[in-house]
Amino acid sequence: MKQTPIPKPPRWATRLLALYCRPELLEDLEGDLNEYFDRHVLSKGLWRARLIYVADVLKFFRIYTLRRPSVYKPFNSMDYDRQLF
Amino acid sequence: MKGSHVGEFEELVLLAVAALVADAYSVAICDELTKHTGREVKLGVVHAVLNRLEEKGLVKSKLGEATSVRGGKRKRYYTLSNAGKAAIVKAKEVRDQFWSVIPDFVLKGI
Repeated sequence: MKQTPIPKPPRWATRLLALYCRPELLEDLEGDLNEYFDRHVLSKGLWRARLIYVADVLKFFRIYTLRRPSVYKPFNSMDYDRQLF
Repeated sequence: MKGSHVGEFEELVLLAVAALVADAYSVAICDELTKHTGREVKLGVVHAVLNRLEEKGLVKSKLGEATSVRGGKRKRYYTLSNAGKAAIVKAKEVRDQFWSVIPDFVLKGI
């Protein structure tokens, strides 16, 4: 008997989220979006659920979710003085 | 004290966290707010507020156990810190004080 495939959100949108989102927030955000996706599949259908998922991924593109630059060295005046003297 | 003032929506989120006790994660908080306010509350807005409240030290969070739902992703549960509890108690006191000085005739006919 052929099993109905489990509806999944668009993989490219999930990858986009993983690309910009801070690692410590990612699992929680992805889980929440998955939970909403499952609800929307039941209430609004697969196509709309996928659309809403993509819109939500884009809406989460905010200052507090973004990854910090990996190379960040704050200026330390003591290091500078040590070099001079 | 700077940073201890809470806005109206922040207060509602704190109240939802308090009401949900051990089950206060973002989707449940959204549902609780929608249930009590009668208006749809966006997940992204709630996340932003929870982040701000955590930065202010009014809530604490920790990841829960892994489950098979949510694509196997863990939930982040929020609880009120002592400062958060003090903030909502203070907010309630302020509102109660105002209610106590409103004359009855002002609200007659509602």
